Amino acid sequence: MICVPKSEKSLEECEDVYGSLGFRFAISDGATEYIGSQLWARTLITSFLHGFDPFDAHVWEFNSRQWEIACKSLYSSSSWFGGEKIKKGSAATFLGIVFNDNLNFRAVAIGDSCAFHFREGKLINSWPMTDPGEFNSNPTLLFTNHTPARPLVWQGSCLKNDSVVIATDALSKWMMELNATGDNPLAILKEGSKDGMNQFIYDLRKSGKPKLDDDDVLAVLIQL
Amino acid sequence: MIRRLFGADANIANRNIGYSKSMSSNEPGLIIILIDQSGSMKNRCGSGSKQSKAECIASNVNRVLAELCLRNTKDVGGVPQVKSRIDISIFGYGCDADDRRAVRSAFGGALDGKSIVKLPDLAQNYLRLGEQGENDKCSISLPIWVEPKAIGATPMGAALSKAAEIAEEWVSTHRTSFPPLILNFTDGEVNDVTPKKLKKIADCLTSISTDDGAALLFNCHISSGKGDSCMLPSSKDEIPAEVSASLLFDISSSLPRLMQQLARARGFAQVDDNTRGFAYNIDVTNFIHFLQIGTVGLAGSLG
Repeated sequence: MICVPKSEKSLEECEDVYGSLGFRFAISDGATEYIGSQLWARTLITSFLHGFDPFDAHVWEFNSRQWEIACKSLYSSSSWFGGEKIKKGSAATFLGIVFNDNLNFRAVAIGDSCAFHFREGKLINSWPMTDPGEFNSNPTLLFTNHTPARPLVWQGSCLKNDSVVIATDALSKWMMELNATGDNPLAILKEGSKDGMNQFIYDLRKSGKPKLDDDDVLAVLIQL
Repeated sequence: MIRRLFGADANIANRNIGYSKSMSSNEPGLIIILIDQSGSMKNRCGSGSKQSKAECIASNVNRVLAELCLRNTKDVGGVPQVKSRIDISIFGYGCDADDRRAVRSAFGGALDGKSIVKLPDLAQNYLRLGEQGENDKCSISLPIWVEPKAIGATPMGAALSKAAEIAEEWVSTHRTSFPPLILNFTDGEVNDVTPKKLKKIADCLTSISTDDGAALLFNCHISSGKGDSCMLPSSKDEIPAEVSASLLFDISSSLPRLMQQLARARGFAQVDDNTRGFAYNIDVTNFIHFLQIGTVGLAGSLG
C-alpha cells in the first residue's frame, strides 16, 4: 500500500482512507473542503467491508447519522467556523471491489478514485476513468446530507497472477499519463517504492515526467 | 527507467504555462481588496435595492471572507483549524475625518491598521458576528470584518500605489507562490491622478510577479442603476462608451485559463484569452459572481 499525504499535511490529516476485509477492498477520498471528511470516508469503508451497500438509502441514512453524532462530539462548537462547517456536512469519493473464489469481481464507485487491471504486468483496463483528461477539481461525491446517486458498477473476471491496483485521483491520473507515454506504471511504482515511497512521491511532485499533483496519494496493490 | 521520469524539462514547461500553483500553507496566495469609500458610495446600489453601495460591498466582502475561512477549515486531530493558505489585504480609499485623501487598512478591532492578515488570524479576529444578507429567510450569523464607509473623494491612484507596495514586499518572500490578485471595487472616477498616470501605476502593479506569473488586477464598477453595463468583456467594443469604462478596461488584466474555467462554470460562456477581469456598471448579483470568481472560486480550486 502507498499512502503519502499532501505536502502541507501530516499523515494524520490525510483524507484518503483504505480498508480491506477478506476479499473486500475499498478506498475513499474525503473532500478537502468539507470538515470530518476523513471520518465520513472511514464510515463508508467500514460499511462496505461489512457487506453493506453504502449507496442504499437506508444504509446511507444510518451512516450519515453516525457521522453527525461523531462530528458533533468531536468538534467544538465554540468557533464560528467549526459550527458552520458541521452544518454543511461532509463528502467523499468511494471505490469498493469484492472478489469471489473464481476471481470474478464486482466494483462500485462514485467519483474519481480508480481501479487498474494488470495482466502479465501490462495495464489492460482502467475504470471508471480511462483518460487523464477526465480528472478535474469537481468529481462526483457521496454526501452526508444529500441522498446518494446510484454508483457506477464494473463487473469482470481476473486470472491467477493478475494484479489490480485501486488508487485515489492524484495517483490514478499520474498512472494513466505514464501509461500513455509507453511506460509501465505498475513496474515504476514497484521500483520506486524500493528506495522509500515518501521520497519517490516527493520527487514525482517536484520534477516528475509526468508530474504528480500535490494531493493525498493512496494506492493499494491487490495481487491475485 | 525511473531516471527518465525526472528532469528540469518539467519545471521549464510549467513556467511557460503560469498561474498554476496551488495555494497551500507552504506557498500561500495573496488577495488584495481595494474598496472605494468615497462619498458617492452612500447612494443606493442600483434601483430597487435597500442597501447603499458601501453596504453592498462591505456585506459581500464579509461574506466572501467568511467563505474563504470555511473553505480552508480542516480538522486537525479533531479540532477545526483554518489553514494559512491565503494572505488577505483590504484597503479602503476615500477621505479621512479631516477631509484628507486617505488609503487605509479597512480592518478594525484587533486587526486595526494591519496591511496583511493571514487567514487563521482573520478567522479568529472579527469585529462582531452579524446578520449577512438582505433576505430574512436565509440570513445567517457570520463574522463582520469590514464596515461600510462613504466619505470624500476617490484617490484610486493612491490605492493602486499602496497595493503595489504591499504586493512588492510580499512577493520578495513568496517567490514560488501564485501571484498576487488585486480586486478593485469602485463606483466612480479616479480624481487624484490623471488617467495616463493611473495607467502607469497599474502597469507597475501588474509588473510585480512571482515565478508563477505577474500580479493580476481586476476592476469592478458598481452600478448606480442607469446606463449600459458589461461583465468580463473581451474587447472595448463590448464596453459602454465612457471614459471611466475605457480606463478601467485598459488597466484590467486578462483572465488566466483557470479563471476562464471558473467563469464558464458560473455561466459566462463567452470568455477566452482576451477576456479582461473587468465589470462595469453591474448590479449586485453580477458583483457577487465577479467577487467569487476572483476569490473563493480561485482559492477553492487551487489546492
